[in-house]
Amino acid sequence: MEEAEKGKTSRYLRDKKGVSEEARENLKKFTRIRKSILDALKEGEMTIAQLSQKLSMPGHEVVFYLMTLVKYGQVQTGEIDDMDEYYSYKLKK
Amino acid sequence: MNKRLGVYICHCGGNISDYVDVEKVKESIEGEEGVFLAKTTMFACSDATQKEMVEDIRNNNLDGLVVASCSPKLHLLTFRAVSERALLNKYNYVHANIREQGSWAHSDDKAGATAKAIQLVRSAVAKVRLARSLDPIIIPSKKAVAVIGAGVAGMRAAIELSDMGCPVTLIEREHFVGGRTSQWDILFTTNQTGKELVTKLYNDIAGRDNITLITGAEVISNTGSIGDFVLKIRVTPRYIMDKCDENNLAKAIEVCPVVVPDNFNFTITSRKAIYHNFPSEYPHYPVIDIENCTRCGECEKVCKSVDFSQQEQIVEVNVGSVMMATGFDPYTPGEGEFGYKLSDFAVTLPQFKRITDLNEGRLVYKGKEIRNIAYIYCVGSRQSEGDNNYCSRYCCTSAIHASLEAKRKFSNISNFHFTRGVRTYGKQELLYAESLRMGDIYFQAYEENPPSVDVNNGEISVSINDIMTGGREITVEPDLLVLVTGMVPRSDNSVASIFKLPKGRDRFFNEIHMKLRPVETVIDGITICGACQGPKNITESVNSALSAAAKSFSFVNKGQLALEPIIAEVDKETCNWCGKCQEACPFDAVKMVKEGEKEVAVINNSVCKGCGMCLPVCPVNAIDLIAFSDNEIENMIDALSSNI
Amino acid sequence: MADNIKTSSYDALVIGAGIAGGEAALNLANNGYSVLLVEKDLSVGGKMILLSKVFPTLDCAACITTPKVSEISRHPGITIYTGSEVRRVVKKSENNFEAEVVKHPRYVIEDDCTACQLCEQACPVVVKDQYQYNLVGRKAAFIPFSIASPRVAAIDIENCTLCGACEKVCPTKCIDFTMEPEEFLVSVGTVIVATGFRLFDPLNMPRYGYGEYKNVLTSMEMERQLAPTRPFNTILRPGDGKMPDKLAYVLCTGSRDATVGNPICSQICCMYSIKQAQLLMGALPMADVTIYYINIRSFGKGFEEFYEQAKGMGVNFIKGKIGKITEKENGNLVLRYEDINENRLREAEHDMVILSVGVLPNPDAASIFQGEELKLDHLNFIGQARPLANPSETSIKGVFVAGTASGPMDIPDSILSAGSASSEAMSYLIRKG
Repeated sequence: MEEAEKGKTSRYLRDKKGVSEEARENLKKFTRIRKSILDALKEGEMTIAQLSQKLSMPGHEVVFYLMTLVKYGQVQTGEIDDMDEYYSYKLKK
Repeated sequence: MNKRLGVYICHCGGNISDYVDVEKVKESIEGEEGVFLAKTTMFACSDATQKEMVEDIRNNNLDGLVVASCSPKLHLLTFRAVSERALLNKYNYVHANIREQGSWAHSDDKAGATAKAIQLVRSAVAKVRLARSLDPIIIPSKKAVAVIGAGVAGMRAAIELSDMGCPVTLIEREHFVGGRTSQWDILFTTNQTGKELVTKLYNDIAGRDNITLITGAEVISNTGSIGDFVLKIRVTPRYIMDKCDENNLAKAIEVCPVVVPDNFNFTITSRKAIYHNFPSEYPHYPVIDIENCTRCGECEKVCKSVDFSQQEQIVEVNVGSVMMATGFDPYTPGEGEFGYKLSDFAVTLPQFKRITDLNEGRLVYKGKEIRNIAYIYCVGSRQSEGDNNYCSRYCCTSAIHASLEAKRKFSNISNFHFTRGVRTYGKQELLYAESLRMGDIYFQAYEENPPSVDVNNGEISVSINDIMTGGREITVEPDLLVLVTGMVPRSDNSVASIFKLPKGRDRFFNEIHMKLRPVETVIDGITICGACQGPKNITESVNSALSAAAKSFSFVNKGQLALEPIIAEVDKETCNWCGKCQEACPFDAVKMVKEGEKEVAVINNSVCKGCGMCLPVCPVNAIDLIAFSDNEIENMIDALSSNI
Repeated sequence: MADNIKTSSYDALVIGAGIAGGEAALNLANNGYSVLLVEKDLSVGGKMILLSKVFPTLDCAACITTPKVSEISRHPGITIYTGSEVRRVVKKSENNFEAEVVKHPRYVIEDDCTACQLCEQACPVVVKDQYQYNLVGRKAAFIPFSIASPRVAAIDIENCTLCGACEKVCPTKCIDFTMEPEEFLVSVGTVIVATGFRLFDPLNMPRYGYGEYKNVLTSMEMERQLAPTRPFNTILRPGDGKMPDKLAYVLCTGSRDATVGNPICSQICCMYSIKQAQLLMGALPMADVTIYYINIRSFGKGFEEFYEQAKGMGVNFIKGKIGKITEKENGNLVLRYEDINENRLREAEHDMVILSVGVLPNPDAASIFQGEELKLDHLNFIGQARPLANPSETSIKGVFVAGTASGPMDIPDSILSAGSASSEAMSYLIRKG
């Protein structure tokens, strides 16, 4: 077995078993959605319903990806509306 | 002597930080004298934070630790272990409870909760500044366990302990073993009868050298504590010699003129003053019920084994741990409660089980053939008025099982169940399904409108507004009415007061923590199992019995125990023996000792629990509680009341 | 192959490191026995560590689990393999079992990882986070959850694009893609099976619309929304991010229902639903919570009182089985049911529906026993040979069952069952057969 250098072992496994098409596609999809959400929020705070409409993306997908961006610190939760129903979300500075 | 202290303030994942501003607590505490570092953490109890604390203590040579989180009931031991891993004496760690006493108590007042948390942490800091290193008190622990109660739980635990190589004294108040289980016929999920199960366990016990079974025996006192309990047991004689002649004994029973209700059959039958519970009962030979015996001497005439000269004995046993397996009583309905006592044909579930056990071929009770049977559920359980708010858990399944067994054993039986919602949890649901398949009829009462029972000229009628049929009023006139009675704590629980065992709201014995320490009690060294802790079926009782066996074993198997050094200490200079502390001590831990001319109080280290009862009664203030000295308490109060 | 198989021996093998397996391992280790604890997941703690609070005391689950988990992890008598599987167990003679264990590569050197999460930040991949029951995403390089033990990163190799970003940022160089599965041949004196249970998958009940209607959740998904380490930091409808204010629980979803192959009662759903309802009343003070039930089974110590407490707090209880759920355009859900108390068919609109899913057996453990058969009962739970006097005995002498592997149980009962199994395992070891 060829000794892979510590800290650079990903290439070893890439050469050995490759990367599945599914994993590549999944990464592309996430990268695309992330960009579209972040771009939309550049224009100002938005609720999930507004994002869903603007991006023509089903509400549940917006919830999933937006909450993931909140979790990883790119988006933050803003105020809730007067009806106490929907939060708005904004870019994290 | 300035200490270097580490203070950790826990978010408890929001439990605390939703109401207490933990960052503000941290900032306020950073300036306190001696505080070398202060940190907040999401979960102080998590593995990662524990590691961090150990490293902080080691790297910074900290000699004091404060953790501000939940109740010390949950995590005192956790953080003591952290201190020990960091080579810091664990008594240099002090806990501040800012959850139960802070965030949870003041969820309506965030600023107030935060201010209070700061004061609580300050007082903990004040205490830890004065804390001193202590060593545990090491005492020998006798490798033996006393199991009180030889029902299925106690017998099973005794066998397990014996298997582990631990000597057991199995103490049974009755003259026969087996408890409630011996009173049941076929047991649910098996084809085994209660008698068969008890017989198997008894034979197993009888064949073991390291189990001493004492029947007719009652614990009357305990002196001592964990590692060294000394129990006095009163053993009442059977008045029958060992190795008796069974044929002659049968004659003796026959000639006895005394007839009393038979409690083994829940008084539906009677027995003589010399009696067995059932023919193959264990121990094999019968007993004379001396309370009811008239000493007529008829039995002696036909049987040489009768021996009225036998005397009550007091036996002393010394054990390291005591296991309570004292079981339950069936609920006894009040007079008139669902017709009880108003008709001979209104019986409790245990009585019904005995009736079906004692009949063969046809089901006949008090001369009447029984065909239609009504069952009223939750009698004595889930009471809205009355003491028993709890569900007795076993009765739905037990009643359905008994009704099915009756249907199988006798012909032409129809069962009518008046329920409050059937609770055949888990796999027991299959029994309910089977009962429905067999044609049993189920009704359910509205919560506020329980079924009613009328007795007219001896005829019983049971009426209900049935939920299942849209509130229709339905009346059944059964031949027999079975009141499905629940479990209640033993009426005579004097053994509990001997050990000062605490009880819960439901009056069953209380465990320390249902999930963390389910078989331990607050009295060190005493474990609980089976239905004395709360209603349980046989499998559940045995599971708890085996858990308790393992726990009791862990108290005794190493031959010694480390005890908490937080106990009272007497300043011999100041003390001039007056005896007030001895009177106040609930554990008999104080003795008077002569030191030269002077009489002084001395504390027994292994008995003192550090309760502090002796402190306030001392007229010369000669007693202090280690780790809770007047000095420490005063400093804590000062800190609590500062900056308000 | 034989060369790289490592051999070792322990007094006991415990399969499954949930609360039952962990408790059993601790009991054994505290009495001086050496234990190998094998867990297929990346963390010990099982399902309990992911719960919010636990009934009827409302202790937070993490508060009870983490100290246990921590005690297990640092106990000198317990060796833990996470991300590992027991492939095969053979009984050679009494007190002598041979087990084949394989440790799947984590692609992270556990001892060197400091849980700094730099790899997680660097990883570009996002997939569903199974520890948040797919409500939110996680990276392919990730720490399973914040109170995981070991709290160490792992690489999800299925979804990893092998871009190398994690390796570049790792300060301790502990990420290692050259890792291979490790095989161990272990001899032990006794085995405890604590493989837990599976949850009913409501996709098998299309009339409730789970999967299709995004505001229909399982109780485990709600459990995550209520936990301190929750995915949304508040309660939200997964369909559109609205805060719900009219919630419904559908009890007996996949329990007491022969049509979905599970005729028994799951024993825990009534109580966890009542608990969640109480927590929701706290989290959403204005919300209405309704529980639709067949029978409320609050049978354990303190349970009936807990049920009464929920009624007192204003939780609605309606006796009736839900026939069908339909979705409105605004994401609200219409529940069609027979109101048994009123004896009529009704409809009710809720903005979030929680399916109280039941307990199913996890029969995997049986197949790893070779030679002597580990028998299952007719419901596919691990069979109890003598359920009355020896509840943890299985069909194989020396193999014991702990917790929900033998049937539905709540946490206190699981812990007592684990105590029972470890007790029997100890006496089996001491008796020598």
